[in-house]
Amino acid sequence: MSEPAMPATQHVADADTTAFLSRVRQDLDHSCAVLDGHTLSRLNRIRHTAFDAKTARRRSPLLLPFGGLVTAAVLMFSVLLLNDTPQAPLPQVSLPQISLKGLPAAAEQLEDMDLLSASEEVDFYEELEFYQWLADSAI
Amino acid sequence: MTSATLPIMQPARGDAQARLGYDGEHAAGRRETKALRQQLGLENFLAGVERKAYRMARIATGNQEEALDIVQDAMLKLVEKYADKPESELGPLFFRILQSRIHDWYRRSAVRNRFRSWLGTADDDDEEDALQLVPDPAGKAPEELLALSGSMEALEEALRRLPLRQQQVFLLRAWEGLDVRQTAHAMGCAEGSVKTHYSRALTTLRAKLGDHYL
Repeated sequence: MSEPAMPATQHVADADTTAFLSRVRQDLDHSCAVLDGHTLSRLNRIRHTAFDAKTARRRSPLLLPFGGLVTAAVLMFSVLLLNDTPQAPLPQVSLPQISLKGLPAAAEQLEDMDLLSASEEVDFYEELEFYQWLADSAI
Repeated sequence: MTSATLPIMQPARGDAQARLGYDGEHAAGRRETKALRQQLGLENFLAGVERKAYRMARIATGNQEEALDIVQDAMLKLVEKYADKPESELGPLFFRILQSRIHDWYRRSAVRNRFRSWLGTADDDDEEDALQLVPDPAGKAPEELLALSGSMEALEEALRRLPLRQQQVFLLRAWEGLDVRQTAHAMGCAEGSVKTHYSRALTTLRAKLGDHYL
């Protein structure tokens, strides 16, 4: 007997909830409709700002090549400036006096850095006088 | 006859290139038209939703400037990331961003207020913050506000007193009309949580505002 009463109660509760929610929506909609002019103006500006920002970002890829060129130019200029700057004299290092007379012309043109970096040929340079004598003897 | 129709059936190379050029221009025009139509749709969408977004943010923060900032962030993000989405998807996406921004604001305010309470510093400026939104025990209850003034003030006060998640779910479901799935997507939570939050919010609001709200 109590079963038919449940749906009726439920129905009333649902109707109440529906009416309550309808009233809530009505009030919230009304609060939007009566927003002051200052707030509406700000919202309008915000919306336009969002689109302007997107337009600006869309344009920016066109400027990328120019940005790249400017960066490259600045880098080139920096490198040139560094190269033109007078270098401080390197500290004098006392190296053994080695006569290169009689060696092939290519060997005579070796730079100091090449000598220092060619670690596997250090023995060759240490025995240079011997190789020079050997070459003279052969002649 | 065949030789006479040949130039028409098989256009010369220059004609074909011209036609391709025309097709290219036509395609570019179509793309531009589509982009313009998308932008127009997006603008209409934002124009239609901006007041509601502002009111939601305003109820959550209780501060006009903060609410406008949140709406601006949400609009910027939507336009930047989702401008090419169909109009039917924009609603849930926009409200997801908006709710995320509101949540971020709430977290930041909570941290700021915690530091202030630890340091014991008072806020010198007149800005409203989350701490100021904590209901004043001596203040008027929504029922009293309802009796004294319009129902909107009472509703807003009652909404503001809800926990943030309940407030957000209620506004999205009851006002924006999102279904449970869309609300869960916008809130970044499970559908079960949406149902729970909504039910609790509805019960609380009805209890606060009373039957005479109807």
